[in-house]
Amino acid sequence: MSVHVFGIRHHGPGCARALRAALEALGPDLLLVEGPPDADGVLPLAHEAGMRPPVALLVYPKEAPARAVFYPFADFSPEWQALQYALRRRVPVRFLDLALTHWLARTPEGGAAPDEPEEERVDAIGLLAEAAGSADPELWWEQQVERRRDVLGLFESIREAMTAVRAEAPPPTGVEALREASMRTRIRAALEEGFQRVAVVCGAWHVPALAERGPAKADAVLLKGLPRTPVEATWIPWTHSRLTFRSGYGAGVHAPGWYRHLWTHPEGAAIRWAAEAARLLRGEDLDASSASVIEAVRLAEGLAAMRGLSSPGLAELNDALLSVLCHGEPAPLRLIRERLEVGDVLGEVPEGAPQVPLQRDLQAQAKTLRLKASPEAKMLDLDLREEGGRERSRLFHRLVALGVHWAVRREERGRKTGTFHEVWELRWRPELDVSLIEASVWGHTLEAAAAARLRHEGDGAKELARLTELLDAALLAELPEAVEHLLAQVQAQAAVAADVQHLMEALPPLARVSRYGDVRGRAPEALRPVLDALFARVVVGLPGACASLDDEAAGTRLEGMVGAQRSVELLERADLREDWQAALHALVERDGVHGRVRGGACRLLVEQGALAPDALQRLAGLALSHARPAPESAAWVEGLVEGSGLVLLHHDGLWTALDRWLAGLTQEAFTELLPLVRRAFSGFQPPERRAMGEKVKRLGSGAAHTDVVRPGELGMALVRERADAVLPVLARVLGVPGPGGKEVGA
Amino acid sequence: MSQSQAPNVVRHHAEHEYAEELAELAKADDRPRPPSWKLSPWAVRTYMLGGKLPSGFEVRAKYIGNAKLIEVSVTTLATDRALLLLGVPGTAKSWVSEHLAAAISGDSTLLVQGTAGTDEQALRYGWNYARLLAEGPSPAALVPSPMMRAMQEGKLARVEELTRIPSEVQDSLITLLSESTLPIFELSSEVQARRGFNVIATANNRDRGVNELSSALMRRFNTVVLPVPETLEEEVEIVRRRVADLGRALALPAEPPALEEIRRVVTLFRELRSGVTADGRTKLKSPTGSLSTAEAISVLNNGLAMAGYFGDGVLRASDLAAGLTGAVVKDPVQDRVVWQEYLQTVVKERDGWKDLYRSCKDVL
Repeated sequence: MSVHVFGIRHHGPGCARALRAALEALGPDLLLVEGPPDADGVLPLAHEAGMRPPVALLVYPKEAPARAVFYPFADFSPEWQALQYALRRRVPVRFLDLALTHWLARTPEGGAAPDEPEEERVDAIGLLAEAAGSADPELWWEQQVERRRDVLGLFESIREAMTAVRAEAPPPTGVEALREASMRTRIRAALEEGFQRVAVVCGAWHVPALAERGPAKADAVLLKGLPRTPVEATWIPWTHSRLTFRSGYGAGVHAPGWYRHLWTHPEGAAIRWAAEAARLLRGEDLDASSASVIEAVRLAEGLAAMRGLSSPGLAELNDALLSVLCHGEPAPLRLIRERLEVGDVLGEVPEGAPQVPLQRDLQAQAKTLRLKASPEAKMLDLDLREEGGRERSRLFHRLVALGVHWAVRREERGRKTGTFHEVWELRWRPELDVSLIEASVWGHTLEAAAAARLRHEGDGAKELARLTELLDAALLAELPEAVEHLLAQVQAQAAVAADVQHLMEALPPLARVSRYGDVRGRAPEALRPVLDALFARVVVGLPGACASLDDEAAGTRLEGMVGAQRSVELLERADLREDWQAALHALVERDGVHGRVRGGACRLLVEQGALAPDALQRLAGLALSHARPAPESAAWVEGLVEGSGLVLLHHDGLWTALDRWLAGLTQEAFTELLPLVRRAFSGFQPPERRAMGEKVKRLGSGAAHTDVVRPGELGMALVRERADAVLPVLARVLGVPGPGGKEVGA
Repeated sequence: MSQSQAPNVVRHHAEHEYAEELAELAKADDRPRPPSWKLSPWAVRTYMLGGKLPSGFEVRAKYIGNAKLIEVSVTTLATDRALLLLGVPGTAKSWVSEHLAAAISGDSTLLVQGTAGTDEQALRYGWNYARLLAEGPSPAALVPSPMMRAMQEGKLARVEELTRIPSEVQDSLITLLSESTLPIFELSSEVQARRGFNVIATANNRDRGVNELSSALMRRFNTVVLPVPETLEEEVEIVRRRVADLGRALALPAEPPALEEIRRVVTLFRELRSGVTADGRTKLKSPTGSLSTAEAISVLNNGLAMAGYFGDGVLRASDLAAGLTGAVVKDPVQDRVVWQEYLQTVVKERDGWKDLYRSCKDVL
């Protein structure tokens, strides 16, 4: 009976190689690997044909899938190699650690999750590296262990080193103590079953605690009466970039691509690496000749010699590549870092791995729609007029409704995509599997689950705006059942909603749906009455809702009004527009309405062309008269010109009124109002401001006091005949009757 | 060579100024040396980065900053590749090149200064025309370039400001580097480089476009980019050492400046260079000049000289003001605005900088 404990570093390729050799030599009849015993059931899958690392063991509490724990494995992970060895040789293999069923029961949400067990632990490698006089523990370990070719006695040395470190460290407490007690108990149990040569593979840190097991009783006491929570385990595909994070086994592998490279090409790693880097650069149209590769390798080897290393490591190679292939430019090196050092790869798991129905449904749909899960971001431009585009869009919207963000909607900048285009960014991340498992409480197919979730959210929604958002989502995801339910909710809420603000905020999404719904061929009939009722309430309630507001509330109200106006514009219905304009007209004349809202209403009317210039001038005169308190006038100006100075530029009457008002302010009032006015003007575009500046210049010359700027005032005399000569061309360009009749020139 | 050993020259060559260090290093150096190298690569590294020898002798650091860069440079030369040092002005390119040549070949004088007027003769050979006319082409009539001498003697040749050299002249370097041979057509002979020959070139990557290196030439160099000092402390340390060294060399009658004064100048330079204050709160305009560490050193030296000859022997803000203003204001219109803004918004408000503010205001 013998127990052989192999201390490894998670994801160390050197350790993996040494471990494989050691196992071959030992020929154990039982293999125990540090990992969650809860996953013993899915262990045999590791050897199935469809399994391709990087993959991760995923263990989650049944009630709370979000608290899932991952155990990632790459090709070069010693644990993975140990599992492969055991499964290939048909040696029984088990996981060895505190069962997650206890662990997850112990750690309440928000507490230390099992995937962060490192924090209480002493940084053993750091201590050893420091003792060895090295500033960089990672580098030290890589040189000492991972790149070692002669692996004889490696595990013995690791054990000695760790024993020395742990002799100084305080004894483990909390979860750490439980874990080690549990590991020891499992080893004892294995021995009792009669196994003769037990191989134990665990993190180097645990070696001393497992080699000297001590009395069984103390451990039994410690492990007694631990709480339990039911857990599920499965395999999911993982990515290299996720290996660089610290999670699961707690080994943030800085350069998984490099480790993988070391694992697959133990001999001549440097040469292959430099050659691969050169190929990569060539692929990006950068110069990288074979001669340069030779020089880069020579330099790397020289550097290794200078630094006293037996062979060049990643640091040497990087220095050499930077100097020779990249000519000192850091940008190509970043490319190498991204593509080679991390080298993103998405693993695969066999069909037989346990999956929730939702995962299967997604896989089936993705397959029919020819969508492939890839860790690289990919942009998809969907044309909704085509069947395929619509179906994909529907799938993405359903996933979004479920909180599975495989595809994220992107607004394409600089290009109007139109209403029948959607741009999505597609990028698979391993956590999405967890989101899917989490979402599976809602149903067994994406359609049913998404509908159920939206309905549930709708029942809980207190605000009308939130409800309409959900409705929007349900329509986009083509979930008629949910739409019906939510629409009923909207109607019910709108009937009792007293707050005009909420009603206004609910308008834009509904208007959008009503307007664009038919692009997708499904504008629900039931929507229109709801929308009409909502709008009617807004129009009725608006004047009342705009009285007695403070500054902040006025701003919010104005925002709501802008949204409502956009909705009216979107719907293009004459009846709604008339009602809306009438409501605005009522506002602009009304005393007691906040200045900013009145100004804003003026602007909204001007934008619709529903306020004649002289009417605006009259209103300006009223609003800016010195009978009113100056701050109120300033607020009016702010509301009027907010966002765009065009109103001001094109209405000279307004301009004059403003000028008269400003000039008439007392010094104190001016100082007081300056920030307000300045704020109103600050949002303008530079060209607008320039145009205003020029207008002010003309103001001085008295030109702007008239409504029409005469060409002569621009510093040029108008030659009638020459101006007339332009008219025929102009008329053709504009498509109006030519200057045969004199009305154009008049 | 004899003239440079004279005691009263303005500036000694590195191999003379640091002769003692080089001798001590050679004594302690038991590692293998590449052919014709005076020191092993490890000893060269120690010479550049400083360190303590087993005998207890202290070697001063010539380059303060990323050790990696020096390691790559030395290894490049050891693997027989030409070295190209890139960097903005004042990042110690020439300094590093001189010291590398001094440590490796014991001779930093084989120098070709690149200018727009540099012709092929400077890289190959010229003729003593009187002799050429009198005797016809003969080895005696040949005037070797520093490059040719470096080849004959197996030493390092230095080319300064490589990108200033016209492209067609640059091209003659290609054969030189790849074949290590310099053909002399007129004599139907050639000079074959002895082992140990190599080239260190420096170029300014701010005006790289002047005569950009062809990719064929670029490929023959390993490139090392020397950055501006990364941290304030590093830069203060560089400036402190150099100011002390230079002050000694020039026998200035003033005390070496207090660390505080150096820190102030370096902070000011760094802030203006990066366009943001050290605390990262205030955005600043950057002047047109590069405001390198080398300029900070010269501002302080200038201040020291002022303090020594015209002041009370202690470096004060008033001694620095003129030098500072000169260093910052390179463009009389644009930079003046930058400098005034900086004085008003940063210097004036900062605790303990009032004296500097007043002095600089007086100069403007």
